[in-house]
Amino acid sequence: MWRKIILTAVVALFAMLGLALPAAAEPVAVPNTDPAPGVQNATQSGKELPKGFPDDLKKFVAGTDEFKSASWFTGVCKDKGGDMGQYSTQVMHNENRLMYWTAKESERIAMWAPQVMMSKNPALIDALVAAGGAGTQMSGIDMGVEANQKAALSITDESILKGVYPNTFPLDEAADMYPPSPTCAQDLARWTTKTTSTWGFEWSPTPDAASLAAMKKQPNADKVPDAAWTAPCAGNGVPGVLCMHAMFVNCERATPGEDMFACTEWNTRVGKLFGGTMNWIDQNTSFSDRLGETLGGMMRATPAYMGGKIFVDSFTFAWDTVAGPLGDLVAFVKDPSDVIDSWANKFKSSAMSMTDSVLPGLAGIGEFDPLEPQFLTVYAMSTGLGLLVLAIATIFALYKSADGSRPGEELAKDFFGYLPAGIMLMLFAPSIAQFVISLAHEISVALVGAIGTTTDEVINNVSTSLGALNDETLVGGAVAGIIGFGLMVIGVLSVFFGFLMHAAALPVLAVVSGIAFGMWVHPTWRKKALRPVMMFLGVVLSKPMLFVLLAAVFVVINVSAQGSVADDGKLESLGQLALIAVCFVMIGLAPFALLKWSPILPTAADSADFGSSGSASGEMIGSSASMYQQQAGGGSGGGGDGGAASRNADVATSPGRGTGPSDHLGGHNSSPDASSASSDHASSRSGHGAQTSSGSVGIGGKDSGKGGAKAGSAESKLMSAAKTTAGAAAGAATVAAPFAVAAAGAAMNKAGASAQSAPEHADGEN
Amino acid sequence: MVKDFSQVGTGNRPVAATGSTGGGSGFFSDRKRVIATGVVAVVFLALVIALLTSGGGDDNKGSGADAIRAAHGPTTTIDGVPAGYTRDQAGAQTAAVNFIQANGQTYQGRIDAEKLREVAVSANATDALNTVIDISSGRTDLGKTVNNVPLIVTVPDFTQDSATVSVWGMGVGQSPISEGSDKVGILTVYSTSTVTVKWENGDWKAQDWKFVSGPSADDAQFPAADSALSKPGANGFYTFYVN
Repeated sequence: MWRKIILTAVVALFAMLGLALPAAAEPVAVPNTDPAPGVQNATQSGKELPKGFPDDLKKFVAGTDEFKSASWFTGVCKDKGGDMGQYSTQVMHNENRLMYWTAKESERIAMWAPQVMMSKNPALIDALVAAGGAGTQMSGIDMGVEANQKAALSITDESILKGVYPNTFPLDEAADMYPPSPTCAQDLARWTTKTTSTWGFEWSPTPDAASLAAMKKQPNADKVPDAAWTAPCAGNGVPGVLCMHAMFVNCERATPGEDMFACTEWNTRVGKLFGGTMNWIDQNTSFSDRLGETLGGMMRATPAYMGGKIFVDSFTFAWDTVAGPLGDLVAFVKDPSDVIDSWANKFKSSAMSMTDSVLPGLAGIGEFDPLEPQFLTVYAMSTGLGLLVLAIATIFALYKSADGSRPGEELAKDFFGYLPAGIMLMLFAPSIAQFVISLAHEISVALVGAIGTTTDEVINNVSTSLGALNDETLVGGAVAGIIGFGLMVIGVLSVFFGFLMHAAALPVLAVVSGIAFGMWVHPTWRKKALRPVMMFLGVVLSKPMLFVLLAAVFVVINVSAQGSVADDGKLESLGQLALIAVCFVMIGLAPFALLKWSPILPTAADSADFGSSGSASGEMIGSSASMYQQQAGGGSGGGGDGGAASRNADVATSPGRGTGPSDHLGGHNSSPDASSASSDHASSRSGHGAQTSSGSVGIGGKDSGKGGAKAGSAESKLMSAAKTTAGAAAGAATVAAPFAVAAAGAAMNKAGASAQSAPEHADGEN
Repeated sequence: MVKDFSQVGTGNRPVAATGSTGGGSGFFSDRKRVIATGVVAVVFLALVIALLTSGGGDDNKGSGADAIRAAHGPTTTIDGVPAGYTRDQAGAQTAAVNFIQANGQTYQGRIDAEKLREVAVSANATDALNTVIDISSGRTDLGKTVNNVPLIVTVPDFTQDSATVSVWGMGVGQSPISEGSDKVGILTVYSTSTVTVKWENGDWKAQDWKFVSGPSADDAQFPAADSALSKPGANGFYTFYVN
């Protein structure tokens, strides 16, 4: 058992280090500089940038090799997430071209249309005709005609396109009109909100008060509408270009003074940019109108243009522009006539908006700090109880040894080995836990950085492939929409809850561990006592693992979103919706089912059957309950949930265990005084613990369901040893009953899953 | 003869202003007496120089140390980090202000963060303090100049072993408007840093850190009664540069 635990821990540590080292060596918010598997030059997951996309602009688009090796990731911010100051400055110098080339085809055609109306721009009309368009200088060119659209989209000559690009500000202004550089992404992330976007953060909705005062003192700031400082994207007469550049940071989050200086400098420069933009709008009404029209259309089609998201997302939406005007979130049923139709609409909008907000927010979910004074107070109480349990366990260990069933040297090991070890662990567990949590946290942070681009891509892909879906294009109409999008809502919500559960389960587990260390002195309880500890480790280490698995599922989602998984015919859209929903449900509702497939974690092998169901707290209750049950000695069929009991049940039914027939459905009316056989005989019990639980919950060890009475000589030996503890068992059973009942209740819906996962534990020890 | 204060002894003696030496005439007519006095003076000077070059008393903290003399410390800078303060309120407030400034120098890539921890940070530093040093560490000197000037320094709590020092300061910075640019921008920010210092290993060491933005000079005109700014501020503020 011990050898196995150590082996598992070592394997887990090496695996984690293996994951952490390459990730840690890279800029935090940026994916590997080496092309990821399946990522070719300027392609992402097999997708392509628009045909003719200029080579010199590729470095601005996340997912390209050029982006990963660009100068903003090699300078002084190399180890601090990259230089967002330099990136945003260079983007603004190329913003007109980027707006054209990253736009959807329909938007690009819309940019052509006003320029090739009759005699508007003769050079452009000539160029379009030369490229295969139909029209004359007098009549202009009708951009509604497909041939003309194709001709326009085929033109890549910069000298021609110059007339089509929107006029943007600031294109070639003085350096102080751009954000200060270098400004590292890690600093910006501290001043804003951390997310899993490409750069690892999203802008603050408003600047802080002190910055705002400085921003309003910038040249021409008096021309900026008031609403632009507080709600730049809410309309209210605020030009769209300000919304696009609303790269606010909150300097109340900065520390120390020099950091606050750098933060305020950023905001002040944005203030100067706003003032300069308003001045430019004043002086170039026709240009700014053109930009306003273009931007209005683009913001409707691509929300990434709003609130400075193009900078933190780095134009990931550019990968989706080939297929045409997709991505608009259209109502699922255009004119809902009944409640089913409107439900389908609501499920769709809910599913899409939750995907947008939950996925990038996963990185920001809090961590548990075992050195928090409030927690330490509770932990101190639990260790107090642990000492009481230690005293009782010591008496039982002595008693067990006194009847001759255990040799004296075993007792010496208990008293001089495990007893001080238990007390030591009680004392140092929070510090050790802090170390493990810090390690897991660092790994998670590195992984979040590594999958940043993928999260953006998932959001884009999901909205692209499902955004345009309606009752006519989806097989099954409104009902299929409700089921599909409903599943997505549940799945995405569960992903969020799953991550929250980590924060909730850890303190509870840590407190239970404090008590469990007291049980170390007793040879039989020792194994049970390890379970909360191993489960704690499992839950901690499962967070980075979940991020790795998330990345894997994201790949599945991306692949499904860009191609057909079901059929090329009518089923294609249903296949996409269903698979995306299934993926979310998988990582959300059953995160621990995913863990079951990752054997590097100690949970699946050594903790309380953590890997076989979805509720850690349920597991824990089950574990504790069965622990008490074992003390009680009776009711071994009770609490047969995903906790210890079901684990034992699973083992009993596992192939190759050889512990006896599994068809003894708790029917053997074993004697009440067979109780202290505890965990060992549990191994031979029926695999139907949950079904028998409610009726057999430890009433003085009656009907204990020990189907393994025929289990062999070891069993008989334990049975005889157990005779002496009948009295104690009867008393303890009273304590065990409520726990076991609670556990049994929680277990009912999990027993099936536990049984299915039996092969996972075929090698488990009891 | 006017006393020469230009060479001040070690320890905690207050420093007076530097005066100028004067000379009498005809006082030492006896030649032997002059020689004896000269020998005594040379021996005394040698002793003073020896004490100064050794860092004096308990100030010998390594090869990177530069001796300084000030009334309440610091007595030295070790690789740019000031150290060696007196165990009194003025010593604690000087240590706190200098810690804020040393941390600022670290943020600007001019001091090694590990050296700052080694010299000026308590062994029992809080997470907040460790975090702020982590934020300051790993920086490159970009040619920016940000001076954190203490405006009002108050000491809400003081014992011989621990002191809480509140520093309302102004950060005035001059930075290139973009990397490699000759053009600079000037900006002013206000902040309040509260540093708890502990007396550890014969010196004040920073143990806890709190930081809030503001108040600006306009907002700070009439501080509330419970504000640290309403307590008596420290007087006798001088400054010096370490390069």
